[in-house]
Amino acid sequence: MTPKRISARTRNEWVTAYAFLLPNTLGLLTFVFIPIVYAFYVSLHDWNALSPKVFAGFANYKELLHDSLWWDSVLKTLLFSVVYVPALYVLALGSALLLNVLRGRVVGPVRTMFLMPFAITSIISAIIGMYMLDPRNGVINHLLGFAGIGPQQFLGSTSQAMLSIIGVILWINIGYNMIIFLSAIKEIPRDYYEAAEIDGATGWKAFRHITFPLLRETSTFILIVTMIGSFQAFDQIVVMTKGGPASATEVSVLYIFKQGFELLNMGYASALAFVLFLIIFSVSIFQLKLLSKRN
Amino acid sequence: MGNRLKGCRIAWIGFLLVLLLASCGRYVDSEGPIVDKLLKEPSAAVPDKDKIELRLWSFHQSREYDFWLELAREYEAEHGNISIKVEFLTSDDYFSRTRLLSSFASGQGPDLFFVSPATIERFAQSDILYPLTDFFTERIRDDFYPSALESVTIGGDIYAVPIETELLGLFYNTEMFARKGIQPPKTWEEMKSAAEKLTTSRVSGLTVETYEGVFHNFSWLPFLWQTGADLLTEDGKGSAMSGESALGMYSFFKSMASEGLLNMRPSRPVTDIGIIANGETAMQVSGTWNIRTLETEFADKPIGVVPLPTPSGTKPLTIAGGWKLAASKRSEHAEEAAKFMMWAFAGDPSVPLKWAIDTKFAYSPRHSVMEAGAERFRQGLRAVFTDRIYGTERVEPYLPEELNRIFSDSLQQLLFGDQSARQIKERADARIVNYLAGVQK
Repeated sequence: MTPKRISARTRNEWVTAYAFLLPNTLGLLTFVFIPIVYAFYVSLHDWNALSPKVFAGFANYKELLHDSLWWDSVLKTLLFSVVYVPALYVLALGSALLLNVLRGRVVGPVRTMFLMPFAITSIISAIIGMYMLDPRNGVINHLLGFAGIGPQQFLGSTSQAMLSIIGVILWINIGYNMIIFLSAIKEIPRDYYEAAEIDGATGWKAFRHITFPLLRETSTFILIVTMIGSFQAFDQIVVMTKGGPASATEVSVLYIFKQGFELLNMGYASALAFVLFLIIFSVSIFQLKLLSKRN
Repeated sequence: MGNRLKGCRIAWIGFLLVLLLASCGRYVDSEGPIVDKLLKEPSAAVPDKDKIELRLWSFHQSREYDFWLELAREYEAEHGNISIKVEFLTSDDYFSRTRLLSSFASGQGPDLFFVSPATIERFAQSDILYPLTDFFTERIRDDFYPSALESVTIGGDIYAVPIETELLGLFYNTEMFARKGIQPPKTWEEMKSAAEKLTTSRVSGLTVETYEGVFHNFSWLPFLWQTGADLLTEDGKGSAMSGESALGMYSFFKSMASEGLLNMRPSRPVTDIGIIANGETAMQVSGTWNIRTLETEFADKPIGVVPLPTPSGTKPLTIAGGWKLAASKRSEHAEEAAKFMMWAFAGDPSVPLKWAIDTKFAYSPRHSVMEAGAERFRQGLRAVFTDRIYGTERVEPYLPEELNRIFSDSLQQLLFGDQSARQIKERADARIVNYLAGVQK
């Protein structure tokens, strides 16, 4: 049997493909894979970032099993994900559907309005969110006042802070996800809807039997990326509450940051980071399997 | 028609771009626009290769930043082989410690930097601080107050030069108090009663730091001490929260918080006197560093100051903090850096006096400086600090970060949590005991 010959054209295509992939692969290696391996190495040591590392075996991993504050922060992260991911999915899809039926000059400004919070730096968006939620002069309390509701503490209340943060992050991210949904909706051939219309399926039925099933791949992408993002929420939380009040918004990444850079327990923080990586990895695989099965 | 539409689109895009640039470019911070300028303009020109360059990292602004520049120029004029580069870092970067830490970890740390009781022990433990014990002759030691030297001595070695002593007091709006016919409070009960009378939908009764951070613990420690409690026993080996004393502080302030008498979300860090000056609160716990701002920026505001109120029948008690200047042991020129510090703050009293009196308002940790400026410590509101608060202070202890965090968590629970005062106190006590057991093991 003669080996299959690869044509010069195929070879050229491969070279081009690898050439395009190379920068990204190098970036991933440098900024993702090597740090993950290094984090694991550091997690086996007792280290304060300034003195030499002292090998500690799996002591840091044993310690985290009994660290109630860590598990509290994991619970808060899960709570954040459970509320944030479905809310973002529903709101982004809903606004994409609404925008899809809008016609005329209004489309551009409305789309821009949704995208604006995402277009500016996340820190600035978070600061704007803080101003809106300010208990004394914030616009939200002002609006609630019209409805006869008294001023709320929002970020200053242990029961409202997490929901307030979720609200601000939703406000920032809906636009971007909406655009992805919108472009996927635009890709669905008009013929399907016309055929459905002849069969008497319009509105909700058309959405349920045509739009929604054909958005499954986009939905899978958005759900997985959003879920991973929700486990890594950090910058906006640091700006808005720094994990407070009374640790009510101290999610896992923030707890890791505090262990590493405030308490200088770099070895322990690395062990926590590695465990968080395993949690995200497992949840992502589970989610991917579940969604692929449904597809 | 098409051109008109195109024109509209361009105008619309232009408008959005302007909006975007405006939102990104405007620096909204209580520290003022000067930060931008400071970040862009390092103080020194291109260094001379034959000179030893010392890098000093400062978080100070305006006059205080100028002080370091002038001091550097003065030292350079006297020591031809030295060049001092003053570099600015925002206080957020400085106080969070991450910037200093990462700079040392990457070998890019400054030669000279500031430490506080909250950070000095950690830096010393990490072998970053250059020991100054040999520079402190007997004459110099005699000139420093013992408590000041104690605050920079770890394991028998001196690791920094104390440059100032800052005290906390209770600032109050004299007009608001006069309108209601109330006297400034001396006791906790009077403070609560005043807060009840002065709290409105726009004005908070009392502002004490509610945000986590270095100043959080600094502001609340004196109230804990006033009850007779502490975090650690005198020998540092046991928890001092086990008795009933600490419960007094947690119960009292928890009741103030639950009755809506505290400013739970101040518009800016409570180190900033702008909170009371802008009418956001009737009373604010803050420190001596605000006096100069009150004399200049807020000269027309009706603000007075009194000692921190205490529980009935107890003596006045406040906390003394203040920054210390340290040299990095990792610096190639650590000895030169140490000589500069000693020249500036352990030598001629005129330099520390200029810092404490003309540049800002703080007390000097040295007898000779306090004597030299005796009268000038009594101008205006300074007299209240000098005559009624100075001398009632207890020095801020340097505690391990884990203990700082335990106290900070308990304060967050006091202010925002659902736990009772007793639960908060008992949990803090249990965590301290647990931490100490781990250390002893």
